[in-house]
Amino acid sequence: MSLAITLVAMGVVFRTVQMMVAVYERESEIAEKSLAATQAFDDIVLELTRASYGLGEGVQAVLPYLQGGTGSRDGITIRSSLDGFAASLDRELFASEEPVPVSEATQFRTGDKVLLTQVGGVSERAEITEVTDETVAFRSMETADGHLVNSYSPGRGARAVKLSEIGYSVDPAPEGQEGLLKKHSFDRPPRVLARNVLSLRFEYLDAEGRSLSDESVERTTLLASVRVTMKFSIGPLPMDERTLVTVVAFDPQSASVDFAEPGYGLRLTRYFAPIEEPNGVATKPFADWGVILSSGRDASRDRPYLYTFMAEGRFLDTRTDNVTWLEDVRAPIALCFGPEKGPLAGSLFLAASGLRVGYLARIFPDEYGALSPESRVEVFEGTEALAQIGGIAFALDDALYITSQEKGAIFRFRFDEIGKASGPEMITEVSGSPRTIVLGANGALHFLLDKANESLIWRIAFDEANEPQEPELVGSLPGQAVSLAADSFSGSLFVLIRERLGDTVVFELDSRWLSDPSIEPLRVFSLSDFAEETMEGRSQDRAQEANRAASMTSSIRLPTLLLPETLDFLAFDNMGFLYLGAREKDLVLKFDLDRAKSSRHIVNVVGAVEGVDGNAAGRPRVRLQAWRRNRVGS
Amino acid sequence: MEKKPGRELMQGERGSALVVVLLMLLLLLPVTLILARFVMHWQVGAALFHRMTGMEYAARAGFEEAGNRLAIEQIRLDLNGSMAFEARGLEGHTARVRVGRQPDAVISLDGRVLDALEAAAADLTQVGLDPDMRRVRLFQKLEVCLVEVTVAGPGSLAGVRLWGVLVRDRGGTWRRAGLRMDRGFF
Repeated sequence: MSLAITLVAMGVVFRTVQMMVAVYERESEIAEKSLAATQAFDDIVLELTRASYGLGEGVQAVLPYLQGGTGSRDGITIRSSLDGFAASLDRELFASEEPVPVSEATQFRTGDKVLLTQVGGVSERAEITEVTDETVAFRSMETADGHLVNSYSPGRGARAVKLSEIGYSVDPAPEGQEGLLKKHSFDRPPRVLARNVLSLRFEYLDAEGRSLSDESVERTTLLASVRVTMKFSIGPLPMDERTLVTVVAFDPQSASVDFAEPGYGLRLTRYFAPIEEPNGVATKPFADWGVILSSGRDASRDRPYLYTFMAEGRFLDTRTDNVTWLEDVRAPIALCFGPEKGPLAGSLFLAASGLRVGYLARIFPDEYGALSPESRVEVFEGTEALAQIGGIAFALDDALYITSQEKGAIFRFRFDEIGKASGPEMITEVSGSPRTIVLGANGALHFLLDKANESLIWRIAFDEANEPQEPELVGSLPGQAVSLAADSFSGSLFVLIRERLGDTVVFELDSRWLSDPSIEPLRVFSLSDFAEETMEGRSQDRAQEANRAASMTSSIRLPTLLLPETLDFLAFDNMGFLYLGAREKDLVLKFDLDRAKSSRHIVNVVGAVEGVDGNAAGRPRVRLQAWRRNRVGS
Repeated sequence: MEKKPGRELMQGERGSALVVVLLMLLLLLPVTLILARFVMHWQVGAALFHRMTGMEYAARAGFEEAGNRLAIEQIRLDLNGSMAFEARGLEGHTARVRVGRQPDAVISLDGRVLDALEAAAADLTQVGLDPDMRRVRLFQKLEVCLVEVTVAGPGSLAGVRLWGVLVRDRGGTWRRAGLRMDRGFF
């Protein structure tokens, strides 16, 4: 009995060991197949992370098919430049086999495969057919006869980059049962990475994870990641099917370096000439028109006028401007519109100033709400308090504040509910000559004070009852104070200053500067730079270019005869255009401010590491290549 | 007391049964252990891939750490200077990071990397105007650093090595200019 039990037990053990050996062999095979498949999958992932390495942005680094393959979605081609060998073309390249000078030609060898590329996404593969000390000749690999598909220009940042192209595909095995995952490259025959691969799928995704069509993949700017799905089999049964899935996001493989200094671009969009003795520009809130105040050639004798223009109108606009003569006003030097809410809405206020007596005038809107010869004019009684007015502005209390240079004081006119004025009432005295006064974005009045060739910015804040507080000094800038304006778009103040060395400049005083005037203010405009630009005619070139594009917003060129030597005021309209006035030339310049950060002067930089693939001696070192992102001149 | 028949006869059987049981245990224990390993093997593909990606994450983490240390100037290097540190990633992978300063590069507005002679002659303060009166620099000097991150693989699994190029512009911002990963035994 015991012998029988022993024999049965031994039989069970024997059978178990036999099955164990079978299972061991099978599982070892599974492990091998899994390992091979996993390592192959990892190889794809690793190559995908290198896509565009050494090539940089703007190059089609991933092709949704195998180069030279069947074009099925089971294949992919990944481009990079592992060596980082690159050269910029120094001359136009039109034809194949034509030697073209390049930078560092000797780094290439005949037979090297390169990618010819330039901004705009244009690129093609080429083979180097000839190398001299300074030139290289190319033959396209995209056409059967080697002719280049595109032409390449140094102005478009054309360059040749040594190319590494890796492809993956799944091909049927000779026995027809299993798929072979193959890796393809230029310089080696295809290598089998894994057997038993059932499928290999690539799904191309944009930055938000949406699937892209194969055609969209050609536009490399949209492609952000690739989802790779590989199915492989570890045995003959359906349950032996395994799937590996991952998403590979592309790393930025180039850096952008901006050459533009902080600040605004200024584009001259219009000039008004002749406007005799221009003294300011004002626009009514929410209106699409503005007025330029002209004091007349002889301010004490000639009739002043308001030059009304369409604020949106550009140089080629067909709408006409008109002139409103002011019969009852003489020598106006400042203007502003009344507050929109209340009885003063739509009225324009002018400050006229003699040496001894100054007075205010109110121009009422006509029946259409505009200023025209039909507009009624009301002139306030003159007063010595307003001698040599520096500027006028309405504040949050709907009162009109006036600076008197002669008195060194700030006055106020208040208006009752039917718009009847009372004043002037002196608010405060200051030491110096107060000039332009404006309402800042923070609700405080700011005025400019000229004192001993120094421009002081003062502030008058208002309390909760809308009563003005004592003025306080905000900060100072070297140079003679000329004019101050508030830009409703940025909320900044802009100040016009005559520098000691003769240039007239505009600084932006943003909220940071207004709270900490030790910060260097941003220099927005320099008259000498503008003059240089105009004299060199670069503006004209740009205007011609814009005209060719039939643009209605083209820049224009100021005739050199009209170039001012100094400027007398600056102003902003409610659309954000900047106006600069020059009395000596009877001229007002209108500039469009390019407020967006410029992307016109970006240079891309690619860094690749040389000496890590065993084909270069010495320590690894960085090879840099650079090219302009935009066309030169654009 | 009740007599238990055949007690003496069962004595030898007991010994052999014990031997059989011990023998079976000895034989089946490795089988059990091997089968337990097979359970691991059934998931081998996913497990291996998990380890591989873990190493890549560790390498990236090391690179990011290098970038962060450069950004906050915890790493400040003289020309051709270098320094190394270790960064611990997920799953216990340790990344060995070496940051080396490369020669500075001067690039021009027209998109060229100047050679040494040109770079020495370039006026880095030169500013021009574009057609929109925007002030534009003509040259910029870039500080260049090469970051090497190595993560050794466990056992016979290949490790990961990452090469990254960082450049710093005049604004002091470090930017990535290139990154590649290799797998192997380093």
